[in-house]
Amino acid sequence: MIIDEATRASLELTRTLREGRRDGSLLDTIDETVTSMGSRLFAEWLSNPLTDRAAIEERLDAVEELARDAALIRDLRDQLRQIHDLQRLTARVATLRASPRDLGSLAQTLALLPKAKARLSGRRSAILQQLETDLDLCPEVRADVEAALVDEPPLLTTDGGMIREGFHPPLDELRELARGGKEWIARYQAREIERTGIPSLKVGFNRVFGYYLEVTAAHMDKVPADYIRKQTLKNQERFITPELKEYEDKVLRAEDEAKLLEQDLFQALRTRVAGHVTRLKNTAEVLAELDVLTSLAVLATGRGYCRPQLTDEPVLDVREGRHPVLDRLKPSGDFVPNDVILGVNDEEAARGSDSAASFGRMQIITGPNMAGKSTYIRQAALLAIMAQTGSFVPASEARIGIADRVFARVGASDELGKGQSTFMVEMTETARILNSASDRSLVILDEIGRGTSTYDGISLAWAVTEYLHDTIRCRTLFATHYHELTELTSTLKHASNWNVAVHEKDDGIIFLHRIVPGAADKSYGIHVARLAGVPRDVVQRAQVILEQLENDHVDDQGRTKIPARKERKSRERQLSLFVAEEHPLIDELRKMNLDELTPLAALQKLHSLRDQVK
Amino acid sequence: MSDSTAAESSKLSPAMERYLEVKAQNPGSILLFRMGDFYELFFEDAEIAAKVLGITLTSRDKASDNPIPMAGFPYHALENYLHKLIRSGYRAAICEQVEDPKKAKGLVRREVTQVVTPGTLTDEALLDPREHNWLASVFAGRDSVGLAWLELSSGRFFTTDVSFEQLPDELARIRPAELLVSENPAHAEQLWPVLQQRGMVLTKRPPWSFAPEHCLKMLLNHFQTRTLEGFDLTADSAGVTAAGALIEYAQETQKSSISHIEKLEP
Repeated sequence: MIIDEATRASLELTRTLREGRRDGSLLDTIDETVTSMGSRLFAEWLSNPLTDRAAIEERLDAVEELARDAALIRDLRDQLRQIHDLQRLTARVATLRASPRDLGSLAQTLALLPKAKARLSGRRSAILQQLETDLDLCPEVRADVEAALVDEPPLLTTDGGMIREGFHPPLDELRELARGGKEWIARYQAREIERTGIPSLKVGFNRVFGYYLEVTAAHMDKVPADYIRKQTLKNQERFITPELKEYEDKVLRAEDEAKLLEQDLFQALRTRVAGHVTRLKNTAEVLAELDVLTSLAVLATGRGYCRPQLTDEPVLDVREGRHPVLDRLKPSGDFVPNDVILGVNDEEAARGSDSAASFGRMQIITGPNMAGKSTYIRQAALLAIMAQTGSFVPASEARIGIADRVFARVGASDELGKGQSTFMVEMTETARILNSASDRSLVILDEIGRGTSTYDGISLAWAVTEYLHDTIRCRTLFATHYHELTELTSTLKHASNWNVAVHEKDDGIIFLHRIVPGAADKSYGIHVARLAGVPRDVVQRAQVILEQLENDHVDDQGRTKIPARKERKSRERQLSLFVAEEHPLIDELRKMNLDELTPLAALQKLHSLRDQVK
Repeated sequence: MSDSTAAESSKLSPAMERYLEVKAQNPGSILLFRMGDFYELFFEDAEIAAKVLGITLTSRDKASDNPIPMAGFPYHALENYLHKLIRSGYRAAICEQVEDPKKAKGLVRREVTQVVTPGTLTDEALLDPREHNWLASVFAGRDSVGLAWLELSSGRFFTTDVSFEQLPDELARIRPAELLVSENPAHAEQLWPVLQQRGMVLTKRPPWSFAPEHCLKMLLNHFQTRTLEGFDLTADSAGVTAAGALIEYAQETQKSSISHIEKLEP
């Protein structure tokens, strides 16, 4: 599905319009993944909805199968939650930047796979079967890393302690040597305590002096002559002996060698693992996809979504649809669901719906601002995008004809910073829709022609609507506050009027957020003014002015005076090609050799050209 | 700071000479120059870092007539400061001591081991785990625009040819963290407004790095193949040129194997 930049932004698919943040976008609201790989893949899916019905159905099949098995979802997600970012781990292995801890994480992840693979066996969905086949457990890689590395490897390669005891005998020998030296030193301390009679004598170690003997000030008189003073502190003194230094040397040399050997062993291990990068990458992709499908199943079951029925016909038939983002923001049950029915023939639509209105491919929705028009039309676009991503949708029932493109011209997006006027932006976006939409597209328009004078705006909105209806013949939802446009339904066969239901009370009005058939009450603004307590004189005067304005612009039948749209005949169009013949002056201009003209001659030429135009 | 004593003389110390050499090899990047346990920044870089990172601006050779502005931070704070620099839209070249100071004869050898830019992050700590981090490249061909995008942290690599009209839509879909473009692109008057209006982090590359033949060679070299037919790509498409320029930049900045980029998907 092609989604242009403006549509992507105004529908807030992956980023919010105002702040450009992920929080609050559709992606953020419906992302139930538990791994970072899955989260990234889901963002990709949602940014690229499919148009191939078979491919979408395959995803939906997988989601449905998972959604029907709560225990399966729970088990898979338990596994997925524990896995690391295998994709990025693998890349670090390949570029030889992986740390010992990275390799440990990789092995831990691989260790979780056999269980997940077992849970995937015997599934019906083609995708789940494929994932099961493709899930490469990479047992050699896992065995290699597990044998070589300790259970919780350190972050750095330089400090040792990475390689498991028993993996490499020469390393074990060096470690034994170091350990033996340390044991000797421990025994040496006991021996020296006995020899000197200093009970508090201690062997210590620091990086600067290495091993030393520490004696407190109180026992200084008992220090034997063979001790060599190294450092004097406040309450104690530190000494060394040749014997101690000899063993220190042994210990430190063995430790150094062991560390170097560990580094070599680690690098060799990393290089061996890097030889399996392709397999690891494939496994990472399988896990990411499994996470996305499972999360879509969680979404489907947890929020009362339904499986959309996909069709190649240009219809949109959503019953009790909800806006996926707003539905989550409001307390459960507070969001008012709406049917959206487009392009369904009347007989079919009669089923279960509370109105007998026609369900042509175009809806014109009128009513005051803030009443829910925008929510209603956006919801339709979002549901189509979700369905084509392979997700269930927030509705009780949905039949969705696959859209090749979704267009949303909604509100005045804030492009002032880009140096274009709001109206210019609006018309650029409109032009794009009119030039590139097809009869398979879904178009939602919010307040076309708002950025200019009223007559200008109505005229443009009117002509755009006619063009979408007659020429492009796409599914269209058009929200407008121009009441005049409701008359379009008398000439446009496949268009119908809808408005926002309002409940009036003595002290005000309540928007029911329910979209119902029929045009909105036209004196609505004045009505609200009265309810709001605008002085009676002003309200009455407004009423009179309104009537006068309307009388000036309606014909005998009370309809707005607008000339009928003429179908352009193909002959006219051909003629027009010849009408645009070149003006003879253009040829003359073209022939002028500017390099040879003197300034004076140029001025004279200009004169003669102007005279010809006169 | 093992070299600080050498800097007392009125002339530049060998370490500073090396600094200027490395700095010249990495124009456009903030140079983080490892000196013992610190990364030091000098001259203009130090002034930028003081502002962006909130670290103290001081100077080297205070007593001399021309003290050098200097700022620095301890090596273990690299991740944190690097993150701030990249977030603020800067590129950073990390120059490490590549031999053991204890074993070095004379000056410790220092080399740039990595150039970090918004689109070339691979360090887990610098990446948002939930977000892709695409490095993209755009090349205006004769009758189409080549677009290529690559994620170094996973090795995924794509290319496509689009029309000028489609370019904004594709960029909005991919949301690259950094976009390579020739300093002097063809159809500049069409291309610049599209790129500049959208607040992209642009990295301008010399025109020769977008020369189609050169780019094709880069790709064939990287994939060790004779043609790109195996990837279902034609050698003369604008997308292939954009992809070649991208691979070259990735090699330049990573200074290490990028063999995990195994295929180019149309």
